[in-house]
Amino acid sequence: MERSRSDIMLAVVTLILVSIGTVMIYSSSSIIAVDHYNDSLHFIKKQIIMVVLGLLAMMVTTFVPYRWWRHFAYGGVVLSAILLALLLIPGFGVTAGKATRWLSLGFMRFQVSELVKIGLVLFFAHYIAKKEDRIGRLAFFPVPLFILAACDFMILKQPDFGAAMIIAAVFMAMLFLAGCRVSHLLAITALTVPVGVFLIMSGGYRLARLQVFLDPWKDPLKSGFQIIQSFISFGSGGPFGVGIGSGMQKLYYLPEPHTDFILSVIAEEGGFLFVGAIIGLFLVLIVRGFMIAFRAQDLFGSLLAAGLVTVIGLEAFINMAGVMGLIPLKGLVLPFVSYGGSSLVTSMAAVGILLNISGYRAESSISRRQGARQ
Amino acid sequence: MKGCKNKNRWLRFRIILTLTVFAALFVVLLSRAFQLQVFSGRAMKVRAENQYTRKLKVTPTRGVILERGGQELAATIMVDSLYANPTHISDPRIAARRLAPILSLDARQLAAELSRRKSFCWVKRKITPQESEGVKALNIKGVYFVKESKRFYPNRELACHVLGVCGLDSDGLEGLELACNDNLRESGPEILWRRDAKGKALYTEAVEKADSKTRRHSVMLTIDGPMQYIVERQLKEAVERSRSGAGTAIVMDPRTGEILAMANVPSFNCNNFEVYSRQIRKNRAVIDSFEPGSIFKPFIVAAALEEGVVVEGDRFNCENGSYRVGPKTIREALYKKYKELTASEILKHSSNIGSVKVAERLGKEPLHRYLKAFGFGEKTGVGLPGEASGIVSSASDWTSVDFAAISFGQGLSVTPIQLIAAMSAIARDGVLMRPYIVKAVIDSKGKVVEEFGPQVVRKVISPEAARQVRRMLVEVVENGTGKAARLADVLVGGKTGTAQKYDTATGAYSIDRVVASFIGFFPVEDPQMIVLVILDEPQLNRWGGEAAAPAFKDISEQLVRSFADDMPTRRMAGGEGTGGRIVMTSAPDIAEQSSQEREGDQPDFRGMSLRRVLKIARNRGMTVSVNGSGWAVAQKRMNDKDGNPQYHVIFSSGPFMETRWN
Repeated sequence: MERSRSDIMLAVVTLILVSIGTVMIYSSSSIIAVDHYNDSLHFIKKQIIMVVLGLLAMMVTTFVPYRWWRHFAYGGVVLSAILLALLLIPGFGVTAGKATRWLSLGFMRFQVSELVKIGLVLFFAHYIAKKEDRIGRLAFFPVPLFILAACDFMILKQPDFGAAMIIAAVFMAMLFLAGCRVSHLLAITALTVPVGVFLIMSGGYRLARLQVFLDPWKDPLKSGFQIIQSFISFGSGGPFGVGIGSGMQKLYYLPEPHTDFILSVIAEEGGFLFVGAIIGLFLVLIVRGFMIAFRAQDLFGSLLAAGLVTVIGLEAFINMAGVMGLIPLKGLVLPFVSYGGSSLVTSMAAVGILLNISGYRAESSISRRQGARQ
Repeated sequence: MKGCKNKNRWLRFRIILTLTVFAALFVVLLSRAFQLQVFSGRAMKVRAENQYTRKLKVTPTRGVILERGGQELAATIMVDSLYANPTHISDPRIAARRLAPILSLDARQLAAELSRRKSFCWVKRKITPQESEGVKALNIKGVYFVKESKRFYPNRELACHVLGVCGLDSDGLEGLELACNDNLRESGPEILWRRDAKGKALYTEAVEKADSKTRRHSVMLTIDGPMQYIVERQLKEAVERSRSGAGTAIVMDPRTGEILAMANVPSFNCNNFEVYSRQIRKNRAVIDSFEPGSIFKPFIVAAALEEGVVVEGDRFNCENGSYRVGPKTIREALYKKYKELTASEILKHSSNIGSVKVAERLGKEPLHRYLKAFGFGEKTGVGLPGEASGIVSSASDWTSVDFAAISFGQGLSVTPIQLIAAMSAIARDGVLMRPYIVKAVIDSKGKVVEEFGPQVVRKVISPEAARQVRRMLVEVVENGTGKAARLADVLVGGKTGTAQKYDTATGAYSIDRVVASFIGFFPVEDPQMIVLVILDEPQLNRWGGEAAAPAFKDISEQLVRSFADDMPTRRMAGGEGTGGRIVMTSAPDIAEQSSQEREGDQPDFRGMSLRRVLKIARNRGMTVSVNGSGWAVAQKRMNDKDGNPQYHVIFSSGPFMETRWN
């Protein structure tokens, strides 16, 4: 197996995003931190620890040969299932904002679904790669579908609609990439439609969110408040922003300015200039990620890379489209940028895996490059 | 291997396809950001500014109202007002239940108000310090305080009817507060502040908007505070003594038309005017018109003298107390019978028949003309809102009975202010002065913006005719129906009035319900004050001479004692223009005090203004040191190193105190 240089560009883009995120978390959280904890550095101190942890995770995963992870394909699923089940037992999980998504690790709260995303991507990549030749048959589907359904069911119990959706979407994307029949994909999609409709209609808040999305101005002070405040942030930022640190919207106008709505704070303080940069950086990250999948030496590598980059890309899209009012608000963080340790560490670990995959090139591209050198 | 390669190609194709979808999605994101930030950014920026900036129009601080000596009659103090941001209140019902008892509000109503979806509502405005403390102790989220100005009347009832009242938004509703509203009010400063979404102010800046239309000026009145106090107290006593339903008194300077005092009983406390009925708050002195009765006779006589149809000394046949006019028989009060009376005697005895005779010589048209000339039937323009014009029907409508009735003051209505203004023409050489109550408008820097002075309305009668009537009116007080109004040291001219009230129920003049009145001026040689006292429905002494004249005397005596150190004395009884100057100590009823003064040379400064204290001190060559401002409340005698007496006088600008005038 040939080794080549890892994708430096991907690493650089990731670090830029993390840096911007760190600065903006400080800007958006310091006043809230003073009000609640009497310490303007309350959030940023925690986040910096997480950045360090994330960098460590990224370095480790960069140097672990990606094929090695296949040993954990089943173990990861089992671990994910156990942790998710733990959350369902009253008293184990940490509840915030009516959702029980975290396990307490003492020094930090750990968001289980972040690990589950990676675990399932790993499992799907492994399973599809292993049963590559049977992907056209119906017998291929029961195992991954069952695992997906079981995990999503437990995630929806938290509830975390966004995470469940992302895992399902990544599964579909990986099936598609692996050459699954489009008719099968459509059938699976058709299966999820009634489930989705049922979820929307049964969970009152989801329906309300949908209605707010359709007409936020109906009740601008209550239900429409969040998205309208986000619009106001984007609008008052204008092309060049009001200046980093000078925003008004983080002063309780925006809910969760340092997590879900961090892009709105960036939009206000940095203007279109910064928002465009963030979108551009993510686009570069996605392009690089898919190029790694494109050039990977084996199907497992391709699928793992594509799956991981799809997770990151989808999360970024859903968060950004949500705060810009293109889709209903989902409560997902912006990877690398938002405050939140679990997301940061797992996303950076995922980048590490991508970097490792990028170190192994398919023979054709290496030989082409070697040919060019000669 | 070929199949594998083919498969590989498919994989790569699908990767590129997925990547393209992602790229497309992110291009959509970019366009959306561009649209939000660059295209429609400005509208959102306006929205943003609106939500950060809070504007509160604070109740304007109103200009003060001063009496002529410069003391504040109406001032402004800052008090707390309570407002809420309902969007910050988590449970309006609990908040309302906790707030309501402290603020004595209805909890359910308050809860409804707090449940509304808006970001501002008043909870209660201008609350007391106790209420403010109570609410602060509750520490309810979403309830905030703001300072507002509140009208404060340091002397409570003093001149209440003249001053009027202000509403919650500091706009005058009644009285001078209303009449001078444009001068007193300013557009309140707008407090602008940036705030976070919880409503916490980030920094504030008060922006004072200079509005050319509204200015905060002070208004100085012609009213003399201490004099007003005397008049109010004496009037109240008179009303109580005679068990009258109400009373009105006005003091005017006939030389200028300045209203020195204007009082009505019952009075009210301006600071909580809400608890008093509109009827009590009504300034009867200008708003109420009444049938004047005999008090009106001097004007008939004055007109007849001026017209030359009556000459002093002319005698009138008074028909022995019964005179038939048309279907009615006119009688004298108390069924008195007079044979022949001169014009002077007609006034002295207040003969109804004599007045009719005088009026008959004058004729309907001329009488009407003179009534109009004296200002009856039209507003005086004193500058108080709601002034009535009274009713003087046109002469062509008068039947012979109407004509006769008018000559003794029935069948027409006049306001107190009209009466006193008309009397100024008799008191001062026949010239009618316009009464006025606002002396000057002063801006916030103390500069006089507008000054009002004496204004001649018209010449009504000749100085000679006026002098003749004055002499007759002296006779009324010296020997006639107005004897009770006699002052010990100053010569008074005046006229009583007892007007039966017309009972609309029975269609006849009531015997029991009367308006007793007295109008008089002094000193006769050079009238400086006209005092009008009107008692509505006195129960004990129904006659003007018995009920109103003593009240006039009580008021005037104190006025002379306290204010007229420059008045001619009655050296020669009945004489006019003898030119003697009054010396305080010559008054017999203050002889006790004067002897004391002579012994210890200790003047009583209490109740005097600073000006007066200094003037007396200068005249007597005494050394006085003063402390404070306003009116003298206490004095202390000390001897300087040479053994000469020296006085230390303490002044206070607080409310007029009862004790000061005893």
